[in-house]
Amino acid sequence: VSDGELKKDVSAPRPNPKSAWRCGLEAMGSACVPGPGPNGECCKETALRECDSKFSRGCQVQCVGAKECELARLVAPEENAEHEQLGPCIPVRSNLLSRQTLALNLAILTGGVLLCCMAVPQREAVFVPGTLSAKHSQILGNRLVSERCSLCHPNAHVSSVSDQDALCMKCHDSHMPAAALKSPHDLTVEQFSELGVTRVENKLVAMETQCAVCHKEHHGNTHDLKKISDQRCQSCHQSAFNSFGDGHPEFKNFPYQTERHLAFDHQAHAGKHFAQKNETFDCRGCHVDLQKTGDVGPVFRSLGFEVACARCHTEPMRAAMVDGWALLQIPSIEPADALDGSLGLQTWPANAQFGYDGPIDLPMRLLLAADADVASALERLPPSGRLSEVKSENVVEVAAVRTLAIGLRRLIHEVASEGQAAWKRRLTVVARNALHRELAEAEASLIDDMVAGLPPDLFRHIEQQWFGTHERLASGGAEARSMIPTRLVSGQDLVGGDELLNGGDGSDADSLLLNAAGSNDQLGDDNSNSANGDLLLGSELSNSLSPSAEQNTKLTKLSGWKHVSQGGWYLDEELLAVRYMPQGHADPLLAAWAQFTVLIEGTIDSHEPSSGWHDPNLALGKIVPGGCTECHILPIHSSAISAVAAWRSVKRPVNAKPFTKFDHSPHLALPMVRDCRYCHILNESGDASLGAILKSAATANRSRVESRFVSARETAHEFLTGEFAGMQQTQCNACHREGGANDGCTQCHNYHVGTDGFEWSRIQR
Amino acid sequence: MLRQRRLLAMTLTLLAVALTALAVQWTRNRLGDESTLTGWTLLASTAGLYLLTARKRMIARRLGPVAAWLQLHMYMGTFASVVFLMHIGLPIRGIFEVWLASCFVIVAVSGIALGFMSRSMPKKLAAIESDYLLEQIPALQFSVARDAHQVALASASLGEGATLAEFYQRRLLPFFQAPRSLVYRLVPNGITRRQLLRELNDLDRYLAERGTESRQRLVTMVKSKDDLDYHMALQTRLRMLFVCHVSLTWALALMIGVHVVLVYRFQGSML
Repeated sequence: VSDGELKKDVSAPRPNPKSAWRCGLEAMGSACVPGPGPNGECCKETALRECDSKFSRGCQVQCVGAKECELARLVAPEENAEHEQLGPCIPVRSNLLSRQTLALNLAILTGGVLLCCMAVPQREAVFVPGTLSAKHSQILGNRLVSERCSLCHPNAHVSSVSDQDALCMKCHDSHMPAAALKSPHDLTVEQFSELGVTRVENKLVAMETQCAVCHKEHHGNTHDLKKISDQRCQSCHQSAFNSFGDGHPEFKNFPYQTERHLAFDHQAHAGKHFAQKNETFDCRGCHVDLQKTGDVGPVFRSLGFEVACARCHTEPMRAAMVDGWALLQIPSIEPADALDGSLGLQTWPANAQFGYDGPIDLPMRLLLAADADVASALERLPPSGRLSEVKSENVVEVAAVRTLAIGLRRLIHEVASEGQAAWKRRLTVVARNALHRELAEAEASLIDDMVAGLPPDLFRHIEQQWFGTHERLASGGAEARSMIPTRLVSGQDLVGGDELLNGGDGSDADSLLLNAAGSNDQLGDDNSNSANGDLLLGSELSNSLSPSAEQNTKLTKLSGWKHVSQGGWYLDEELLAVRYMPQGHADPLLAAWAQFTVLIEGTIDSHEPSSGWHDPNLALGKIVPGGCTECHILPIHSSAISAVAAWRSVKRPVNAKPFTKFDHSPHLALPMVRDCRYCHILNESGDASLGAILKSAATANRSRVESRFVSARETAHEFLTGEFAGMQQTQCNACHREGGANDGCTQCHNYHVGTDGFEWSRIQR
Repeated sequence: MLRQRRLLAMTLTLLAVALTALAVQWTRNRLGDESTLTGWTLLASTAGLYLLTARKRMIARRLGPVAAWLQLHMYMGTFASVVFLMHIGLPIRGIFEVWLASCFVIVAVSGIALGFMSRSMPKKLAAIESDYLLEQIPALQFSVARDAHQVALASASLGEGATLAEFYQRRLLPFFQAPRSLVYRLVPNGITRRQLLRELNDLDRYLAERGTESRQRLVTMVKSKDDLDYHMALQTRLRMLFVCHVSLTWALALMIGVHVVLVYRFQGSML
């Protein structure tokens, strides 16, 4: 450097960039030109010694040749006087060696740290790729740290490969067992076929999806494992729409396509019934229970009869059932039939021998139709089913009535001798004939419910009292005749049997009843009658057997609502009928009979209508007394009997997660949608009520062979489906949109549907 | 030519990034494991980055110029950085994962900075007349400082008195003898240089002819010293970034290996 001007000497030899050492004097401006050797030793002497060779091996400066030894010149003492003054060579690490040393040290340090981390018991804390979600953390929180990873990742410690999803299902199998299928929506190929998925799409159906594909664990304690991006859904659902508010398919009459089991006419109740009572029609009164939480929050399909309906419907229902239900009534036949020894009807009750009369209702038809000859006879009866329309000159009908009477006698005898088994056997035969197959478990259970509580003692009493008395009457003359309980003429007291038998008007009933009550020799033989207190007839008669009361006690006619007010079986001595008094709303026996009837009637399309038991006059709402089937729409397929309790408000099973979900709770808190009518808008178009429509449908279909119940169900379902205006997507979009409330797929749709959810959705459809 | 080459390289890099993004999207749409896809892509591209190191060691074979390999390294590094962003999920959780990601980020960021600086620095250094090796700069700085000291001492004996010497002692001595501040080394600038030169010029009114000559020599030395400092700052910064970029190379490779083993051991597959 001279006068501050630095020369730019690019021709000066530069240190080899790959050399590990350089001269330490370089920073002082007097570097040793050859520089240090490969191991950091001073290279000056070596360079001079090897100057004659072609290359100065090991030194940084190459020798250019022996004759013009640049190296020798550079290291000559006169040229490096300053260097000599400064002292010996001080080799220092080159940048390359420094970098390599640093990199190696850092790698060794990293490896050492990793090894140390692997050695300590808390190694999981170092290598875990993030904390677990809150729920999994709670489960694993009480485990030793060393065990936590291996619970879900056994492969890390053993040499066998295991299925990661199988470990997930160990805990999650209980509430979604179908997830083990790993198929989309946990459905089978058959279920997809039922949904109409085409063969091309079946490629996706056959795809197995691992749990971890959607449920990303180790994303922190606050991470929601169930939060699935829309993109995941649109992997398969590739319909061209961006979001809920942009291109989502319109609702198809959602949510009213769901099958309803209660034929509740909202329009008629709101506009007529509540209006007549000057009451406010409030949806919450029947649907909202803030004390409970169900599938859709505190909103239920119905809060039940007691809460929602009983206030208005209890009294009419009680009035309809005041006389109970005559399941079996002995019809009246011609006296000549009873005298005909070839028919075997000599024991026919004398007070049922005044010409063909009496209804043959559905229960009796069902019970009698088990006999093939009786079933055939039932078909030959007048269309009205009333024997009063049988003409004496019509040989066919008369023969049918006689066969029916013989069959009825046989039925009573069977039940009296075999008990409930006979009843059950007959119903089973009829059901099997109607369904053309063996009965399913639910159907057999249904018959059990129909038979439950039937007391055989009543039939023994019928055998002994109604039919046995006649035997004595036929053989014993006037004494026995005085013991016959007579028919009651409507609105009058019991009349004397003699007079009735002699064609009297029955004006003196008291004395005759006393005679009947006095027949203690017969009742006394029947131990079960006297011992069984709940047999009201037996009880009444037993009481009447007291000699002191025999003359003075005046037995009144048995009335269902008065004497059997809590429900049960009793005999109608007046009409010679076996009656059942329901226990009020939701009587199990009536329910079973109604369901059985609908089930059997529902099959009428599939085979010949002339099955004997078929009652062409039976209306959907009049199957059983009390009008059960006026409100309850019962399933016509046996498979649905066990799947849905049609008599109860539909409640989704806990494990059933259908494709679509909705929770009313957060919506009811919003002022805008607090009023149910924001979403559920009644259609004002129709003037006719459901009852009127059903009545006209029944009338229209009366002449048709097809089941009126099927068509009535369809009519009811059609009416109920269109009762409300279908919800519009814009109603939801008001809040659920981008930048507003969540509009993701999983907000309204479940992924893990499985068989339970699929079945539920199918039933709902 | 250079521009065309860069355009081609950038286009290829962007194409590779786009293809990878499409593959990730395709995998995601089919509910596949995009982490595996991006992970192996990242591993492959990272391994490709080590080819430059290998090439530098293989000097005997004809494998193309190192400069070409360096270009490949730069663009592949850019691609790897993008794939890295695709691979990781933010925020990064887990101690080891944070180490690994930090290591990669340091290497990647330093590499990107090196790439930019290697493009911008030559222009800045070329603006200076002289070219200095970093190893030689301390000696040159020492030399300039020694000369300046001698000029200052000589000026004290001149007729102007101690004006120049006093100024040297007060203002120039720290400039020549002491290292520059950390701020200057990080962001080299000409503030001090211009200030000192202005003050030296202001001394002219107090100096005679010989004093002015001395002042002029000091001015030249100040410029030389500042050029040396500028060179040193830029080259040191580049070298430190390079050290930072290279020193984590093997630690990163080690951690990547551990990461892959851990992933497959804990994923349910054996490796």
